[in-house]
Amino acid sequence: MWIEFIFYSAFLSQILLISYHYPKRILSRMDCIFERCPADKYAKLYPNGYEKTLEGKILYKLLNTIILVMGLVVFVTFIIANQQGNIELKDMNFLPFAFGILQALPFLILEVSALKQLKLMRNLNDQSKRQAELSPRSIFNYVSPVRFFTAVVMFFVSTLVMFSFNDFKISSDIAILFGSMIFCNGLFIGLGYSLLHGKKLDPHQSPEDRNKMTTTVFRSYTSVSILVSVFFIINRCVDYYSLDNWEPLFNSLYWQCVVLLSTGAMLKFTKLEEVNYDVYKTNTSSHT
Amino acid sequence: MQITIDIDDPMPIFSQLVVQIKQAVASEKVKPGDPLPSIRQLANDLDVNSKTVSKAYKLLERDAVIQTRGYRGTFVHPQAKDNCQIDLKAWMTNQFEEFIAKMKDAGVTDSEMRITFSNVLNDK
Repeated sequence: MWIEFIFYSAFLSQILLISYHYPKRILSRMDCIFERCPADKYAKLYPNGYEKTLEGKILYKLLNTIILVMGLVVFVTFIIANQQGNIELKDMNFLPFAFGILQALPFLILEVSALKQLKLMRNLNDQSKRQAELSPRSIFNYVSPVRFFTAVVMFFVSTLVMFSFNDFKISSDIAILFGSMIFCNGLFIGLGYSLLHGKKLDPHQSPEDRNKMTTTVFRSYTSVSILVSVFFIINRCVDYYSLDNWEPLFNSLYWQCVVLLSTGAMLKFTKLEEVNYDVYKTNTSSHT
Repeated sequence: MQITIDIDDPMPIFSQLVVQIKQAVASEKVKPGDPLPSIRQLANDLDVNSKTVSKAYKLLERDAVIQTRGYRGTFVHPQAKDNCQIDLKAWMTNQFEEFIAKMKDAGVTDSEMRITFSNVLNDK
C-alpha cells in the first residue's frame, strides 16, 4: 500500500511540476520580457511581430492547461481503478513516460517556434558589422573535465551493467535500451558540436550571453547524460531483481529529474536581469 | 579578444581579418603560442564564407604571423610580433628595384623585362 502512496505522490508531483510549475515560470518570464522590451523599442526581439509572439504564448498556456487537466483526470481515474482492484501498480509502468512525452509537447513546440524566430531574426539581420571571438571554443571552456568524463565513464558503466545482467547476450530488450542510450548521447554530441562550431543562432546576442547560454546547455547535457546512464542501470536492476512495483515510481522520478536538469537549470542559471536586451533595440540612427 | 568586420567596408573581408589579427598580435592582445579559432568557427561566427577566412589565414601563415599545427589547430607564431612589423610591399619594391637596376646594367630593355616577367609569371 505504501509503495502505491509514494507512486501517487510522485505522479502528482510530475503532473504539477511539468504542466503547472514550469509553464507558470516560463509564462511569467515571457510577461516580464514583454513588459521590459516593448515591441516599438525592441523590434529585433519580435521578428514575427508582437501579436504572433503573443499568440504563441496563449497557445503554450492553453496546451499546458489541457494537459494539466488531463493529467489530474488520469491521476484520479488511476487511484479509483487501483483501489477497486481493476489495475495493479506494475501495469502502470508505461504511464509516467507516456504522460511525460505528452507533457513535453508544449516545451517542444516552444523550442521549435523559438528556432523559427531565430532563423527569421538571422534573415532580417541587416547589420553590416559582425563580431567574433579570437579564441577557439572547446567543450572544456563550458564544463569541467571531471563532469564531462563522469558522463563518459557512466555511459560505459551503464553499458557494462546492462550487458552483464543479461550474461553478455544481446536480446531485443538490451538492443532497444542500448540503442536509445546511443541515440540520446549522440543527440547531445551533435547539438553540442553545433553549439561550439555551428552558426550563431541569435545574430544579436552578446558574446557574454552566448557564453552563459552555452555553459548552461552543456551543463544540462552532461547532467542529463549521467542521469540517463543511472536510469538504465536502475532499469536493469528493477528487471533483474523483479522490482516491478517500483518501476512506475522510478520512471516518474526519472522524468522529473530530466526536466529539473534541463528546463529547471535553464530557468535557474539564465537570469533575466543579467541578459543584455539592448542588443535587440530598434536602430534609431538615420541614414543621410 | 573580439574582432569586428564590416561587410559594407570597401576593404575586402579577408584583408580586414588580416589587419585585425596583425593588430591584435602587435598590441599583444594575443601572444605567441595562443590558439586561434578554427576557420569554420570564425566563418560561422562572422557569417562569412569559410574560403574568406581560409584566405586570410593563408596570408597570415605566409607572413609567419600564425602557424597551423595539423589537427591541433592554428596558433600564433612564436615570432609573430616581429613578423607583423615586416612590410611585405616595401620589401618587394626594394627587391624589384635592385633586380631592375642589375638588368639595366646588363643592357636589358624595359619591354624585354616586361615580356619575360609576364611569361615567367604565367608559367608559374
